[in-house]
This record gives sequence, C-alpha cells and structure tokens, in this order.
Amino acid sequence: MSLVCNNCGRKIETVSLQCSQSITVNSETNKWECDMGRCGVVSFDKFLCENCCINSSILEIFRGFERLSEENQELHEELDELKTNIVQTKLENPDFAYWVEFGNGKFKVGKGETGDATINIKCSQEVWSDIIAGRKNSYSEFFKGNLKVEGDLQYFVVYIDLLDLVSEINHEVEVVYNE
Amino acid sequence: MNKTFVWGHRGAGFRDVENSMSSFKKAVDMGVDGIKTEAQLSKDGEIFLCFQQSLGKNGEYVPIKDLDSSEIRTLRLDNNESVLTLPEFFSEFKNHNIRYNFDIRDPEIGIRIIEIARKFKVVDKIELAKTAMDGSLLPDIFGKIREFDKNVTLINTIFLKYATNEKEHLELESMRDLNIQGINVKYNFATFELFKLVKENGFKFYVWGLLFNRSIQKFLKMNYKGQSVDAMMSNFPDRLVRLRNEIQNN
Repeated sequence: MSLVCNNCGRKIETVSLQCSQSITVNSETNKWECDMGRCGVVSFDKFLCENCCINSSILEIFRGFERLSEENQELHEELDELKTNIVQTKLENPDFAYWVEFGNGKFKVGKGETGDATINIKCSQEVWSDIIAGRKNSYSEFFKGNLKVEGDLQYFVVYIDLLDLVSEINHEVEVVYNE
Repeated sequence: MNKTFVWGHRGAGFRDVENSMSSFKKAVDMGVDGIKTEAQLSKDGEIFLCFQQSLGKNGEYVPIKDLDSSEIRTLRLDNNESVLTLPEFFSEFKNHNIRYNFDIRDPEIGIRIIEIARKFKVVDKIELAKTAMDGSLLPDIFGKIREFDKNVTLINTIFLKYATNEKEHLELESMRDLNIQGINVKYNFATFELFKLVKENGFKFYVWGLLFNRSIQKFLKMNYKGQSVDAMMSNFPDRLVRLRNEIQNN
C-alpha cells in the first residue's frame, strides 16, 4: 500500500511514529484512517505530505487569528485604527500562497494569490514557519536576504508587530480557556 | 520621576499624510513634545523632510541627491502639499516649545541640518539619529558631526538586523567617545534588562514603533530606580500623549 499526498500528489514515503500509532479502521466506512490528534480523523484519501501539512497548518494558524479578530475586542479596536493593507505571502519549496487583509477593523485570510496586494512577502517555507513559531526574527531574516519584502515597508513592520500582538492575545485567551 | 518625552513620528504619521505640514501641525496640536522625521539632501544642498531616498519623477524613481531643490518643489505629496524643506519646517514651529529629531543616513546631512538650525537658533533643540535600517558603525555616521559640533544631541538607533541581540551591538565605548547621549530601540526588543543596562551606563533610553495600547502602557509603566523610559515615538501620538498623561500624572 502506498500513500499519496492529497495536495501535491507526491508519494508519501514515511509516516511519523506518532501518526502510525494512531492508524485505525473506521468500522462504519471500513476504511483505514489516521487519528492525527488536533487535526481530527483524516481518511487516507485526504492525507497530506509533511510539506503540504506545514503549509496547511500555517493557513490554519492565520484562520485562527481571523476568528480571534472577530471575537476579541482589544484586537478589533487595534485593527480599527489601522488603514487597510493586503499582504501576499508566497512560500517556496513547496510553493504555497495566501493573503491577509488587515485594517479598518478587519483581519481576513485567503488561500492563493490576489492582485491587490500592497505588501508582498517571499521566503522559504522553513524560514516563514520558523518566524511564525518565534524561532527566527523577521528583521534578521530580512537583512540576511532570506525574507524578501516588496511594497510598503513601514506597513510590513506594522504587519509583523500586529502578528506579535495577535499571538500574544491568542496565547492569553488559550491560557484562560485552559484554566 | 521623569515624565516620558513624546515624539510624533513623521508628525502624526498614521493620522495624516506622513511628513506633511498638516501632519506636523496635527501632532503639535495633539500635544507632542517633539517631532521625529527623516532628512534627505538635494543635489544643491537643501534639506527635505522625507523618508524615501528617491522620489518619482516622470514615471521613474530618482535619488533625491540627484535632484535640484527646484525639481523637488514641483512634486506633490498625497494631500497635494509640497515636500517640506527644513527652513520651512523651522519657520513654522519657531514659536512652539518643541524639539526636533532627524533620522540621517549620511554625516553630510547631519552637518547641513546643524548649519540651518544655527541660523534659526534652534541647535539646542535638535537631535540627530542613526536610522534602524543602517548597519554603519557609530564613528562612520557620527564622527564628522561630532567634530563639527561638540554639543548637538546624537542618538544611536539599534540596527534592526541585530534587534534580538542588541547588547553585543550597543557600541557603548563609541557612544562615550563621541558623546552620544541616547539609545533608540524598537519596542519589541526593548526589554527591561536592556533599559536597566542603558540607564546604568548613563544614557537615555528611547523606544520607537509604538502603536498598540498595551505596548504603550507597558513602557509608560517601566521604571528603574525612579527613572522612566526617557522618550517614546509613535505614529499615533494622540494615544501616546493621552496615556502618558493618564499613567504618569498619577
């Protein structure tokens, strides 16, 4: 039996131990499924390879920020103060694109490319996921040439600051929720 | 306890067209203590207040240093105002008790600002700062300026590339040698430990890039041995003035 990534079509050569341990048969559908913990039950025909899974997770994080912006008053008020900007992020290896519109009270996320971007960010998946996770600093990566930015640089800085604020509020909300 | 000095970045940067006369006037009306802006030098030696090093002319971007002041005067900002010159700026605010902080990328620009400030008798009210996008060492940017004027206030802004490990890049020795009075740090990297280190070494501590209420409040409450953060910069100076007055007046 071989698994194929539902997104890029590449053959999945290995499955992590954690995933392998969670493989079960769904008695209703009589299909093998993998219980991927936080992601829920994913049938084999929806399996993603590691790279596509990371991209999917990045998008899911930003969709979480979008939901938070609708629920959290502080974040909503801060977004109200900022003018509208559209940030197009294009990741490489593998290629993946998504956009974020922020300002005028909104934080909206979409998969793919938009022609209306005011800021364009390009970098590798590895660098961007490290920045999102707080393992790397966006400014250092920018000056090293690992993160390329075109458009309004000042609002790129605002965008990075906004992501910091959203992460901070998100963490506080999660802590309260878990308590 | 000292009250934190409020700089309006590019005037009231996010409340108006940045670096325009209306933005500067708005910031002063909001109650800022000073205006932080950027200075560029034209081909014929005029200082213009502008962040961009190049301006659009006939569909292409031309470095300001390659344009004559007469050409720059024909260009318009988004609100149809002209790009301000330093003499126009000083003339407008000469009767206000405010200070002026200029980001400079070149020693020659700093020296020209001092010459103009001397004519307007405001040299004691100006500060010259290295920009956060500039990786030059302090003697390269401030050496000639300090030779030209022994007293003008100079500020070391930490290069953003080194933002996560400022302590190794503070150049404290050069700061002492060149009598550079303060250090300017982006708020995300302005830790209490860094604040303490800067104050213990006898320098002023500035924080820039503040926009959000929670970060403004955090730095207004920061205190080391009865000393507050010396200055804060924001594109929302109205917020900063209001919160400073609420928090530090109590």
